[in-house]
Amino acid sequence: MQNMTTELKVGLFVLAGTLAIILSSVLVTGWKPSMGGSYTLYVTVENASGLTRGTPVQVAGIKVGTIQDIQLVNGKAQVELSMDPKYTMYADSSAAVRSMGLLGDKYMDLQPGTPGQPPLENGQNIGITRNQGDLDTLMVDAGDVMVELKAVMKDLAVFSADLRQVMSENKQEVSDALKKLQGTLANLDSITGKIDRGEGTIGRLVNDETTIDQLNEALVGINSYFADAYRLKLDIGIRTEFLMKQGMNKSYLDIKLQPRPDRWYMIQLVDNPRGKLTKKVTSSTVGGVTTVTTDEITTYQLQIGLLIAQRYYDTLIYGGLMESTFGMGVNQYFGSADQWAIGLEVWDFGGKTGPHVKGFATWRFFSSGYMMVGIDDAASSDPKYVDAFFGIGMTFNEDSLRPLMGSLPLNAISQP
Amino acid sequence: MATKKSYSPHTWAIGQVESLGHTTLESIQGVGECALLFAKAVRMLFHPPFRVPLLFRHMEFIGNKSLGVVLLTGMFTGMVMTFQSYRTLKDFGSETVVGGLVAVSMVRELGPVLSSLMVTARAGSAVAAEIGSMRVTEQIDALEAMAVDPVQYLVTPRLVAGLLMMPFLAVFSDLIGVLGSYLVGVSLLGVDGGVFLSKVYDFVTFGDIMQGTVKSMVFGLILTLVGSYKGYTTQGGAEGVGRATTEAVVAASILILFSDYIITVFWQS
Repeated sequence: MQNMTTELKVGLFVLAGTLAIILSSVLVTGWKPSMGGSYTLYVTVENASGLTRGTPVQVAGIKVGTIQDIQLVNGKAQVELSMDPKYTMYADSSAAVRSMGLLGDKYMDLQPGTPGQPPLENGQNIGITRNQGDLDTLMVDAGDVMVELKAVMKDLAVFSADLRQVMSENKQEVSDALKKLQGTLANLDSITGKIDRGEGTIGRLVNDETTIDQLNEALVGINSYFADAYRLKLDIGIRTEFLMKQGMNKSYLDIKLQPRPDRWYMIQLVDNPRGKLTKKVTSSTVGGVTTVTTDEITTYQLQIGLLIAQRYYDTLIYGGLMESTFGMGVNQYFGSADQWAIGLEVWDFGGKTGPHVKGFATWRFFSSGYMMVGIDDAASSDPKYVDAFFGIGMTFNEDSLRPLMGSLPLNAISQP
Repeated sequence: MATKKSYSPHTWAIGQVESLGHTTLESIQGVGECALLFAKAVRMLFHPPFRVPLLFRHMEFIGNKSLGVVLLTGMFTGMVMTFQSYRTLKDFGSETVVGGLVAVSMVRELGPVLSSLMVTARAGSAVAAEIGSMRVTEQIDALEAMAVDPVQYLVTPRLVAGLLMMPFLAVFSDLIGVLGSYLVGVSLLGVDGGVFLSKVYDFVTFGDIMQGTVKSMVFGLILTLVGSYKGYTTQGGAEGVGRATTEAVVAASILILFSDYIITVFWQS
């Protein structure tokens, strides 16, 4: 190193220094050689405070130019923007003066507008300026609020002055009223004292232990009375019967309400594929001659049953509305837990093919499932309706329904 | 034994005022002589012979040989600035801008001023001592006798060397200062490195670098000119050389700080 000439040392130093200056300049300016130079746009804003020459112009936070000059034109600030020609502004572009952060420097924010609009040429104006909710406008708003607040405070001061005046003018009345209030409170005190000591009707009522005992007993009685009434069991059953000759399914939905072990009520919905045969008689009079026509109409609709049943030992007798006509039936149960049964039902006494008679046998093969066989419409005058059937059904009691119905308190009241 | 002189307060005050006037006149005279020296040095710049090797030797002395002390100063300045400003900035929750703050301070003020002061202490004093001792040993008179213009031979190359080398020293000081700040801020204080650098780039502008460069050129000129002038006007023997050296450092330092203020004020417009 000792044989380095002075010139070389100085040259290296100058070279390094020049590089350092160029490097730091490039780093801080983000300088890129732009061959196209720049083009100029103008924006007129109400308030150019905080803007200076060199203030950045941004689109979506990206620098697209700088402010070249600011001049006062007709009482407004005309800002000259030096724009990078890489970025195009369109005719509907808009400008706003914004702050970087709450206390930061101001910058000019542009929205470039819609591509498709004619692009802005060198020297043209950006027509639209937007107002920004910056700290300045916030301060102006806060000023307005302060003015209103001052007015409110003034009103409040007047009000409290008025109040003080009223109080001082009516000092006598106020103190009289307070005295009366004291008297009332004294009376109230003596009344509550009497009650406390068991004097008078209310006092005795409150203080006598027997009263509350009697009331309790009465309530227990009422409770047990209602408990019986509400000890209601609910069963829902579905059953389908396959009519073998006719090849049809007949389905039932039973809702059984059982308030007592030997008594139940049932609402039944029946989907009968045979339909319900009814006769319709219409008479029409045309020119003095009366003709009577009788139509047979089959209606297919859900049929309704409403049944009441009473059980004597192993025999169940029931009756009511069956498939929307009057009917009755009898079941005889056998075996433990009524595992087997035979039954007979008769309904639709006025039917076209005579009363509908149905005999059947049931086997309940587990607690909530059963099968049945029987003869449907056994007494029909039309032999095509006499048919054997095979049925299968399920019943759901309230224990299995409970998860579905949530916490419906069917038995709740009867529980001790 | 000489009788003791009795001063009345009256004459003492007058004496003080007199000395003030004398100092002022001397200062103004000094400024004028200094300006004349500068003018002559500039004029001689364009007169042959051009002593390029001599210029390089002074550039090496002022630039290369001052590099170490300038880098050391810049490094520690950046580190200390970071520590000090970090505490305050943290109160405002903006400790990430510490890099930008330090960088702007370094580029605009501390880099040029501190490195100039260091160079004044190192090279300005040497200039004054060299020329001063040549003056008191009548070497300058000998130069004149040999028809060598002493200003062209002694002063001009030093001024040019100061003017040219000081900006480079300042920018080295800036860079090493930001490096020191980065080391302290990122490694010790836990500021994110990327944020630190992006704040540096955001805060420092090209104008700041220009300002720092212009300032350091002026400072380089001042410190060599004052050193040369003080040396050139040395009177008395070795004692005079010592006085000239001290005066050169003091005057140059004051002038650097004063001109720094003036440049900063007028740069804003």
